[in-house]
Amino acid sequence: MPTFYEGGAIEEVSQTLSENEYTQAFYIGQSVISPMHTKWVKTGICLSMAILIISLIPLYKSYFITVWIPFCALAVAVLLAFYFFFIQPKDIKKWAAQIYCTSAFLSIPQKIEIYRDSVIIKNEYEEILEYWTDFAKCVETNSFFVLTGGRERDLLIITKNGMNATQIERISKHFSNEFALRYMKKKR
Amino acid sequence: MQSFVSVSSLVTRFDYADFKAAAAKSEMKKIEKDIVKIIGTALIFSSFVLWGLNHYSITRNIIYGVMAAAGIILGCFYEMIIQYSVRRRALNYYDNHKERFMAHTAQFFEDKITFKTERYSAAVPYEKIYKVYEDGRVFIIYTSINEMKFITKRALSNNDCEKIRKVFQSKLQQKYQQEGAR
Repeated sequence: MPTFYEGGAIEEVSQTLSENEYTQAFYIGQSVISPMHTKWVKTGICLSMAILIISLIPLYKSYFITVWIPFCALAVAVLLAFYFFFIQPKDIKKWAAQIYCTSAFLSIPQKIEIYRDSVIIKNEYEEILEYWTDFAKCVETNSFFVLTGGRERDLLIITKNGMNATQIERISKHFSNEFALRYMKKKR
Repeated sequence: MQSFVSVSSLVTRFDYADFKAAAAKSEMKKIEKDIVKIIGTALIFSSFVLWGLNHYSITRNIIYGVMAAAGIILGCFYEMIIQYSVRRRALNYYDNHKERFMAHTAQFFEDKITFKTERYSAAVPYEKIYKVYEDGRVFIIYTSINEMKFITKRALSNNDCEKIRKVFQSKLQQKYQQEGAR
């Protein structure tokens, strides 16, 4: 339970996450783990490799008669770029949808009480207390607050759907104070 | 309503390693094992064929030997290597995140299981459980495809284990898997 010194809840949010909301928030959570987890970075690396291979083909040709090895490598780099940009995001969202569908707790109504140092998440079957220091990152987008790295559950999703502007502002300010450099605001 | 089994324990590093190893075993599909065995066999076979065709160079003989060794390792020791690797990582994770591991209490009732730690409490009806996996050391209770709680058997008597097994078999049926059974 929150301690006496925390005072009352800063905000109380009631929500029921839909599958679409969960998959989107899950994908956001995955993409902020590190720069290497974003599709742009991975695709960029593959395309850079492809450009490098193309630029080295004339040098390769000066040593060897055929160029099928660099062309194979080029094809692999381009295919990987295609995979990371188009296919992997869909796979991640499919996995998120599977998690949502198989979980007894994600699709039911939940109440989230936000305190100064902690948060309590309650639903019909469970009650979880997490401290802000347990979470690795907080990402705010136009639709969600996504907190990653929790102790009991890896992802805490607070949807802005149903909240008024004052509530959003209050929560946003609180998270940016609590998470400091671990807080980021994304435009989408 | 009174619980028929109540178990409290503090997770040790070996408990955690046992749990992770059991979870890895649970996730490993038969087709994955078969494919690895086929690759191992193919490596061994092709190393012999290549050696038969051309064994006059020491370098090539070494390469064929390495291929055969890789085939044997893959075919015979793949699971062992995976288990070792999973256990090592689990032990390292535990050592670096000790603060995350708390004492917990699980109680089994006729219609639900309750879990309690300092920060978490849940009462999960059996019909809401995704699946249960049992091996020689732990029961793993999946509340979704990637979320699980575990109960170490070292904290349970044989009688308690048998009671838990019976209730899982009756309440979960197909969703209850024991090591070695598919």
